[in-house]
Amino acid sequence: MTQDAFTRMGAGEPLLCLVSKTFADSELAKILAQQYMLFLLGDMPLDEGAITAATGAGSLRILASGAHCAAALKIAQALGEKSGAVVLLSPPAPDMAVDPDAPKTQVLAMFGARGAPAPEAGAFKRAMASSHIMYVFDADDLERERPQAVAEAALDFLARGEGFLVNNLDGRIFA
Amino acid sequence: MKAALFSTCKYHGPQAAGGWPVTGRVYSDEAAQHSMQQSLNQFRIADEAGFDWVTVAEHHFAPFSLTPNPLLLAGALTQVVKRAKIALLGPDIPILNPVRVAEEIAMLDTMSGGRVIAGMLRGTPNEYVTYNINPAESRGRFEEALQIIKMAWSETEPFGWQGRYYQYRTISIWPRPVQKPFPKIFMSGSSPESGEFAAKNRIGLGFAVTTVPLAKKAVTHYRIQAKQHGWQPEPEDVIYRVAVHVAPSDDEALDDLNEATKGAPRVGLTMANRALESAIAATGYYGRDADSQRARLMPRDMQTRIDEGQLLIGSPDTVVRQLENIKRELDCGVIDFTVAHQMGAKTDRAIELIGEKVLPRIGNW
Repeated sequence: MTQDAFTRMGAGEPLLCLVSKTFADSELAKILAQQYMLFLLGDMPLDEGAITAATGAGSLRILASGAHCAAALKIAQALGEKSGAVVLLSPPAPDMAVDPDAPKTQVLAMFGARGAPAPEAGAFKRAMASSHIMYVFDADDLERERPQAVAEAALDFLARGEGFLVNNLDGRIFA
Repeated sequence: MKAALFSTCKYHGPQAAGGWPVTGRVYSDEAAQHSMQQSLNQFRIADEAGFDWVTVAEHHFAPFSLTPNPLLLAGALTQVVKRAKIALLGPDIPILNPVRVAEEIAMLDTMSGGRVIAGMLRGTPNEYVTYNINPAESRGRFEEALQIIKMAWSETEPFGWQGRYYQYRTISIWPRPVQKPFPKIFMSGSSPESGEFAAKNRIGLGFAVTTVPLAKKAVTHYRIQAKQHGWQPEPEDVIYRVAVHVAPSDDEALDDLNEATKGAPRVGLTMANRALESAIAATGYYGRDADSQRARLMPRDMQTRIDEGQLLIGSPDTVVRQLENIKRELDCGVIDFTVAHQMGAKTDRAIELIGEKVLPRIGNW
């Protein structure tokens, strides 16, 4: 795998994106690219060593969607302590074994909530108890729908990991 | 037909005239305490007299009702009302924190042994000023808040929420409702949009501050919509709230009410401040049936209220006849009697009379 295997988008620290081929055209991609250099990875063999070499990252953040989420988790597990926060959009329940003693990758799993909540969310949480579940109201396709809502939570998690639980916004009016 | 008692917890003491919000300049602590105790006592009497439900409601900034948080009063009722269900009709969820509402109702359901009825209201238009919420957001906030509340009750794993109006990083409430997956939910249904949402989501519908003809139009729309969504509401899915005063004779009942109201038409909270109401209407709060919705809230004199099914008054026989009309027109399964709280012993006696001479005759309708 070479650097040419990736499509790059934006500027900033690297964010490995395992997403659909049309993701680059999405509003979500444009918002994320304002803060990160997106390394968009299509359907190709995965090698965490090649990925870190290509992205040049000491600690690599990952965003993935749908069927690509399993691969994202495998990369994160292989990276170990070098894995940064991982954001998953509509992931199926992971079928990988999670070593309870291994360093915990911080995972945010986001699901659409239009009508009844996605049943995959509960299954995902049971399989990966340390993950955080986030429902995005009034959305099904999280790559396409409500991009600002998805990006707001994803960017906060990518930046602060589990610290995103704590509101750090300043809503005071002084002047 | 089930019967509920709604004691408004109206402040009965010195007060300045009219408007909304109402000044507290002449507020009496003693009168407020007495009024609350009076309400609690009326609920107790209703429980002993065989009412199926007791109901509480949220209103702000006026002596009309001393329950800005009806769930606090409901907490007291879990210890006073031993048998009847406690209907929260309800918290005005678009102006509140929905997670807090879910937590408090779950507390009440636990404290009452699963006797809570969970009404979810948009509230009267003026309430949007209370906590500085844009009335234009009312329906959107309502629909999203309701989904958060239902999920907070039913999801067993902690979850975050990225909504249009609400954002929470993690939710996992304790305690959880006794009733599974959650208590029966009602919403107010005077507007066509509300009826459509309730039908789509299989939610019960309640009517208040309306007339029988307007409620009939709305409940018909609800039932048609429900059929399109593949279900048929039961009579108990429809609540009709109506003011009532019962005395041994028609003349006594009329005299009691005339004395209490001095013959003045009832002016609701919203129409007490017409400038405010107009500003709220301009936001689009009322939806596509705005003229009819605003007309619904207009003050009416006593005879018009009786004629239009907004007020039941008279002897038990007379009130049963008036109820027959409501049942025939609406096929509602729950009648929510709003008593004239401020008449003290006469109101207490009216509740007892309803229990003795009205409820046995409507219970099998």
